[in-house]
Amino acid sequence: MKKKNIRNRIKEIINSGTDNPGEKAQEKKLSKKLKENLQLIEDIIGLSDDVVIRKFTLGNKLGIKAALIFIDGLIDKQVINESILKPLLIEEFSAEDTKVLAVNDIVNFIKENTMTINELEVVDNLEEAVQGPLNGDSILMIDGYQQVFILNSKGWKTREISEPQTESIIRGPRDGFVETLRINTALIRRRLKHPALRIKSMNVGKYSKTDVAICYIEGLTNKHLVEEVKERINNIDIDNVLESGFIEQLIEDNHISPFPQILSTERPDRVVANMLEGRIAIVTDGTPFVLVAPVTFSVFLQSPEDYYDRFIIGSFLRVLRFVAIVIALILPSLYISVIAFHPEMIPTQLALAFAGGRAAVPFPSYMEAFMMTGLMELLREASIRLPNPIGPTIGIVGALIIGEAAVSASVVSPFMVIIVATTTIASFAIPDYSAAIALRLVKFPLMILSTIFGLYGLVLGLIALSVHLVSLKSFGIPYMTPMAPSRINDLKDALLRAPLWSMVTRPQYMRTKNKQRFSSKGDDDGNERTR
Amino acid sequence: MKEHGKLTERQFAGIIANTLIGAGNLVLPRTLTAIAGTGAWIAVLIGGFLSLVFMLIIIRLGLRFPEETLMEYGTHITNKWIGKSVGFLFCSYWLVLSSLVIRVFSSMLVSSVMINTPIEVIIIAMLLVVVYFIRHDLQVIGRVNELYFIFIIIPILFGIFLSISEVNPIRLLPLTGGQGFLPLLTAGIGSFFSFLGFEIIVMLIPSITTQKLTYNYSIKGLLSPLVVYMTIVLLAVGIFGVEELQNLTWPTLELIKVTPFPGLILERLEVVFISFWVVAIFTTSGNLLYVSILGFSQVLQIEEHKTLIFPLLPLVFFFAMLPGSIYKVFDMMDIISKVGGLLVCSIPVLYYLISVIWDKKGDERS
Repeated sequence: MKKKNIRNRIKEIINSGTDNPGEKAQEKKLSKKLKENLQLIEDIIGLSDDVVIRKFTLGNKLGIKAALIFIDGLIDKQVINESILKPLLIEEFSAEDTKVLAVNDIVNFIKENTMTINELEVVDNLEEAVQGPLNGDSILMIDGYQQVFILNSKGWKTREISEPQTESIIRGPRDGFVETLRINTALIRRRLKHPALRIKSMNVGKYSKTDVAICYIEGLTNKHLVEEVKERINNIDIDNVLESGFIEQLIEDNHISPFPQILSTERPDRVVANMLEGRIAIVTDGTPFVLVAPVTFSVFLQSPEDYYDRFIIGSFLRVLRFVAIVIALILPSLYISVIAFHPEMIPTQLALAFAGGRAAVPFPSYMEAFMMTGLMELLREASIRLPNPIGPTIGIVGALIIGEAAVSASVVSPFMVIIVATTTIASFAIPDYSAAIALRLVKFPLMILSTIFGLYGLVLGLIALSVHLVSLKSFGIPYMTPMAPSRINDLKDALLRAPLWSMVTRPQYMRTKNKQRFSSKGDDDGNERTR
Repeated sequence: MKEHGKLTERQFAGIIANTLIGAGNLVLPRTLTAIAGTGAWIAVLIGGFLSLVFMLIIIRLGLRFPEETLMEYGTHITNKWIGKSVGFLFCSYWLVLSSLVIRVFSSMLVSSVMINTPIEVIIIAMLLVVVYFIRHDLQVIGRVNELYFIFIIIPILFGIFLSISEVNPIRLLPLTGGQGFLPLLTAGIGSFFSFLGFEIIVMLIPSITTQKLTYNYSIKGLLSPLVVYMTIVLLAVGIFGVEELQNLTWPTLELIKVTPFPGLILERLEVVFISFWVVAIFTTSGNLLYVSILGFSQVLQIEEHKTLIFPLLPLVFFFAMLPGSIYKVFDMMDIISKVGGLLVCSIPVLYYLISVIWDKKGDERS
């Protein structure tokens, strides 16, 4: 007997330790008495200093107690003062001739005639009532009335819309996403003034309760895709979503690949262009990075600017980026394998120059290459972390002083510096940061392989890499489309950028419901196209 | 039946082409000119025609059983044990061929570029990449082949284009070889063996998305290796002449060596050529090993073909290392392609006749 008691006691203690205020809300119910309700809310939210409970009385004669609860900092003070408190305290209830009303009538009166608030909701669920102030709303509770008003009084400081830092372009819109979900969805809607745009909100994160909005175009986006995205986001079970990266990592197809399978961008124009190709945008509250899925590898080589310039220039830039990828990926490995394994490939004049440069260097070529590329990565990482004013200094220290000094101290050959510099510049020319960082990373295994096997190893490494890329999928769409599986019709927007008038169809691999972007005769509804 | 993913017709053609372009054409000019002299290119045509005929027979047979591979319909046409043993023979032949392809290439690599590297290391490195490749399902295999077709064909065309200037047309005469028809036919049958590999389609036909187009695209898939083989033979004869070719172990490699590459930063591009050839060898042996392991898994009724990869891997390495010298490699290659030739010429024809006479047909595709 005693043992059992002790055990129960221990169980109780353990359970009380894991007591979760959120769970309490599910058990208990709102009562009619204001005092009890306030006590409940206090129990659940706790008496944090930023929680404001403003108690007041409705009307001189009526003398009904009421309370307004909100969290300081999440609300717009003007809304609280002018649109909620003022009508309640002065304009409607202080008048001497206010009829004596029953409580239920008062509630109706408040709802219909009093509040100058754009969004108002009446709930009788304690959980929702508690969530209200946490979301930035304020809740109004009235004595003798079980239900609770949730009043939209959101208003917190947000960052101004500014130019995206990571995706700069010469020509194109300068506005970028900010940290607030609503502003971001508004930026999308401002560019898509079509009634078919759908924005569906979800809530992810047990503690963070982050709002996530899925944006797509009804009647264009593939329905199964929308369902799949919704299901994957619904299946997320995590306590905390601080950035869209959390969502990205939890819904992507292959978790161990270094390559991004979902695009993250700060540019509304890019998101809209992708949505019109049948992709889905996932906006996460609290971050300016909006996810776009599903994507193929070629999307990471596109910059919005390709479409704003003339198509010849756009195509030239595309080709340039392909060259940049090849250089960023294989140049150091090529250097290692040619110098260490196949010196016969270098023409005599160049070989002499190489030999002259390397004559005083005590290290083998691969050591040189690893040292310099490693140093370059360090420099890059350091320059990102440094505060802005001294950021450029690291460039001068790194590139000029270390490069120059290393060469004159015969630690590396001048050619190695050229190779590393070219590789680094090429990797900067890749428009997407996460794709560029993946390619930078893959460069190292390739260097190791060419250290061991020369060109043979490099080619084997590239084969393995391409098999990996080909086997990847993003929401069921093969990553290397339209190259493999080949879709010749879609190549016009992958390797090159065809003229706008020639891109009549949306990408076929997206299996959109509405396939034509436009037609020379008329639109889908058969209307004449006006020029 | 387990769904192995679907192949588009273009991928199907790519698999045929990539499987054929591989180790065979490294030595083809020498072996063919030894018999047919300057008429070697006609021999290639004859070989191509022969393989076309057998390929069409295989497709006709395969389309009678649109949902099944050779391993499966074999048991329906004959009985369980005969069907399974025939399937087993095919798979073993592909496995040995695949390992020999790797061996031939590694031998060339060791003798020409990586003189100090032990051949075992080169073979193992290649095998590891092949294993990574064949762990995926048929969809990925098809896509990779589709992508690599371009990487294989463009360097070849580029090399051909540059080496044309070195051809001395007199060496090509007489165009028919001048020894009558018999040596041409013998050499033709010899070149048929270098077209072997197309028979892997017995495993692929049930997975093609639009089976109507199988004939069409299989011919397209066969045509590009045929053109490549013929051009390489013509170029080799035109540049070296028949007599000199007999002294070259790797005539195709020598062909690249004498080709001038003007205006490039690097010289002696045979290393680059070999690097591209790695891709060709990789697809050949990868495809062969994939169908071999897929076939074994169907014969042994194992759900996932992946499970068989690691048990069979030592065997592949063993067969690749079995021949001691390069001449032994060529001998063994000879024997194994004769076995393969026999299988390809007899089994599909027999199966087809039996299935027509006894009127056996597979289920229609739903």
